[in-house]
Amino acid sequence: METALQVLVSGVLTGAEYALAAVGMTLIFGVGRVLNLAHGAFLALGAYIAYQSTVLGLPAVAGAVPAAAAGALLGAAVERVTVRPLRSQPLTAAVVLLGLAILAEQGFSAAWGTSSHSVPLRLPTLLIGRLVLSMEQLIAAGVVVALFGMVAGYLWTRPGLALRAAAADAEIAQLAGVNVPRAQTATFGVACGMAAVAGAFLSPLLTLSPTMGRSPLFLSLAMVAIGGPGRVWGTIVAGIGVGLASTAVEFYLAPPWSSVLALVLLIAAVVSRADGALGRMRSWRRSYS
Amino acid sequence: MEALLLVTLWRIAWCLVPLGLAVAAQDRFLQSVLTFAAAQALYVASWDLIGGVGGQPSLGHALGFGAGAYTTVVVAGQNLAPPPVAIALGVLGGGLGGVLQGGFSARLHRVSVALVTLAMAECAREIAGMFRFPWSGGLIVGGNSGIPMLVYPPDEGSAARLAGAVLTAGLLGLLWIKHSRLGLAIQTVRADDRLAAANGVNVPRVRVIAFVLAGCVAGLAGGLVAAAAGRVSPSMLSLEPSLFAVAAAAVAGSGTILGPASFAYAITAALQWLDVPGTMRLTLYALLLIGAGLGPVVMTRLSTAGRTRPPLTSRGAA
Repeated sequence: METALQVLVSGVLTGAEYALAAVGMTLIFGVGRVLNLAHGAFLALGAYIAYQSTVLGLPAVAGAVPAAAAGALLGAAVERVTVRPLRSQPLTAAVVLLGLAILAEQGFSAAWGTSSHSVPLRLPTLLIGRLVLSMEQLIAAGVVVALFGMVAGYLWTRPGLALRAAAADAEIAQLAGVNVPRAQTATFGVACGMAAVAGAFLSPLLTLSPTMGRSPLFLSLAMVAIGGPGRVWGTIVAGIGVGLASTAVEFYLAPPWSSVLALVLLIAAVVSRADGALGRMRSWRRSYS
Repeated sequence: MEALLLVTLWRIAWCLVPLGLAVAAQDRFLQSVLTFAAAQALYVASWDLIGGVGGQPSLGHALGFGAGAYTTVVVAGQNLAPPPVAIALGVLGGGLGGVLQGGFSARLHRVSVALVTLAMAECAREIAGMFRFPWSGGLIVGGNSGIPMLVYPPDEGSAARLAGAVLTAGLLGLLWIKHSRLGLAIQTVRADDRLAAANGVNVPRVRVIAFVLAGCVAGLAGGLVAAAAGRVSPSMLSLEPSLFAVAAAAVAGSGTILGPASFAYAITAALQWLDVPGTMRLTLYALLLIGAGLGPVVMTRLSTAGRTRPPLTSRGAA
């Protein structure tokens, strides 16, 4: 019972951190109709920056700030240089982003080597009742909740309304005076920053290696597909659910099974969920039934 | 009519080139290089049937390739059939991969197809990396180190000729499929699926058949690679072979069968000859993908720069 409670709490906290990356992905999809297959690379970048901060004697969560800045800047640059010219070709953009993710992996190998690293916990571990929680995880969870609140709040502000208008219909929004390309670049940058922050928070739980971004990429894709592409709250709920299921599978079976679970959920969600532009499956089913 | 015949003859002659090279090669290292080049070319050509001709951009074509390789190694390793039959049975493994991918993605659109196929191949790779089991000779095999088998054909010359012959036959077969009634249906579905459905084409069925055919040929290529290397491992199901196929097709003319196959043959031979390590190859494939995606846009911008008035930007429109 205590073990189950521990798995439950850890799963929800981990799921919330993964959901942060997934919300970034869903924002990119919602505003730009682009599937960011380089999202995992940004998460890996954040994890490596957190690792570097622990090398300097700081806790991993302290790496979240430089990770956010690096992720946002790099993300905006990637959007401007590679995604914007391919805006009308979403599949090509996704494949080019996948290519960039592979290049990023080679960059991580060059910078931090091909061997794996682990991120040590620098802050004390708390014992709450019979639950063991690291201070870093609690801080991370608090920041994630605050970031979710900020995203939700931002969407109700005037610029947030412009963002939602751009997501609903880019052409109409542009006619109404919204600078859609700028909104898309900003969203891409912020979303990549969120992925990097998630990577920094998750780094103590992960084994850092150049290809470490692939598994979180599939987890994020599964969360987005289940929650509904472009839907922030759906993605948060799905993120926590998938994170919890993934942690439980990892604990009770073996770590590789959590990747299999994410992939199976992704396939099931894309195939069965008739939702939005990710597949136009609902209209398809109507066409062929 | 005469021109059509000329084109057909030219294509047949082109398909015979790998076989000719395999027969002509005398150096054992060169023969080994040509063996792997032929197998990879066949694999890339199989992707082009589904991704190029069929317009279903699979990012997980390695599933058929790896499934074929595992089938060959298991059948040959357990002495269920002689090695040539085991290689041929790779078709079944690849076909099964095609059935799965086609069945799940037949009703999906391009980005979703890419996602689902990629996820299926990654899922297979994860599962293949997890299981270890006893093998002949008391060995424990499986997991990330894979499963060994006796190299077949044992000498490099025979291996090169076998791979060259299979590539020639495979390319001719794929070209025949492309220009058959089924191929026309596949191309019609790619051009406009709704119109195809309105004209009585069973779109999901055509797509599943295309996936199965492509998977069968990929499985044969996988069987050849596994037999020539004497081993299969989960890396054959990984992102690398899938990206290689997409990159080759993107660079050398998607949907032409011969273009991607020729490019894959040349680049694999060059990389094998130069003994380029796997990580460098993956980087090269990534660069090819990025170049193929962004290249046309950059070229268009360069060619129109300074010649036309810039279009109204969002800032101007606003």
